Amino acid sequence: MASLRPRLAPRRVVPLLTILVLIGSALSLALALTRPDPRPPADLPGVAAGAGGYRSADLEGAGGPAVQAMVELLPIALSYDFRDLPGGLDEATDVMTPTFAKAFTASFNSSARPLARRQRAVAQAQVRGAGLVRVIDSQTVLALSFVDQVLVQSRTQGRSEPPRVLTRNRVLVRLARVDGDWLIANISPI
Amino acid sequence: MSEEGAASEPIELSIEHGRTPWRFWVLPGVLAVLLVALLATSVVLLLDRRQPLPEEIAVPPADIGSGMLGDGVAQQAVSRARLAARTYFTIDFTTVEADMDRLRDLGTPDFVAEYDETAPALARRVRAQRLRLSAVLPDNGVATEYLSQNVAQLLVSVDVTTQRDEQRSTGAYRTRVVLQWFDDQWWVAAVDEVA
Repeated sequence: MASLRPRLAPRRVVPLLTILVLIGSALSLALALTRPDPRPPADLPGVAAGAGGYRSADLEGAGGPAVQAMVELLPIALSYDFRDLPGGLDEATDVMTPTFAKAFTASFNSSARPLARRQRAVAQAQVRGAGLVRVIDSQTVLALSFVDQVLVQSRTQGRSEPPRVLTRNRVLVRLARVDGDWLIANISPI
Repeated sequence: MSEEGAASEPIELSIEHGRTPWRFWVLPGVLAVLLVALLATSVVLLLDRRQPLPEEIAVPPADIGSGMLGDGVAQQAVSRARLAARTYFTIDFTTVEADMDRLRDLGTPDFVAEYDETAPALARRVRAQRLRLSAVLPDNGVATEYLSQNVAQLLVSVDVTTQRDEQRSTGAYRTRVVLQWFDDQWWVAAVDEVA
């Protein structure tokens, strides 16, 4: 005697399972494609930096503006052009405290100036990293920078040649706030 | 009865008795397994997104060098970056695997996966050349470049001494360490040389 109970036949189940698999595939794909990215954001400081294009972070607290100032001031302080060494030195010392400007001028005149003249060198400082070491007080901050000295042009290097990195430096920069502006109070390599 | 009709008779008989040959269930079986796998994947992906990413809230950096490096989020970031950089550059040919495991223990799964792509080649080189690398962090050589509640980026200066037999040389390295905060601690997401 034939049973009246509906039986599960493969040919009935296959279309139903196929539809469910397609729905499941679409669901998994949609969830995978819209999955939140747990990695750090791509706009962290330095990540998108090209040659000379370093962008500093907006650091919270008193040290933040000082670090941002350092990123702007270091290229002015450490770049030089043999065609206008006095003008370049004036620009450099304008972003320094008077005491450090004096020491920097003496060092520049004894080492960088004769070398730049002899080599007919144009060198640029490019910041590759900038961070806060410590806030000493409300007017003084210690920061760290990774800065490259890049030779753009020299007696042995034509204008058509690509810039050459001379040194990859790690420098501690002491910044002092004078009349509301952050100035470089010291630069020392570590 | 034709020959064709005779050939189909056993099948009809078996259906009449409620038994379908097992080979007819292969395709439904495969589809069922696939469906279960897809549902499991969907559940995992759904559970994964139940924990939303924390909002980016800036945090004041640690006062490094003040002599009172506490245990706050900012201070922990500095400590973890120091440890990460030192561990990254400390490898001895006699303890390569243990040295590398120490770094893996600090990293996010993505960092470990990325590190493992180059680790075997590095391990072979260290063993073949019998290298001993040790790292020292100079005073004031660590700085906070970016800090929020869940992401930190620090600059770490590292002096790495490489010893091979009786030869020793020390190089000044510039590294950038990216950290991610989860499970109540900082994890290393990247250690990059700033070249």
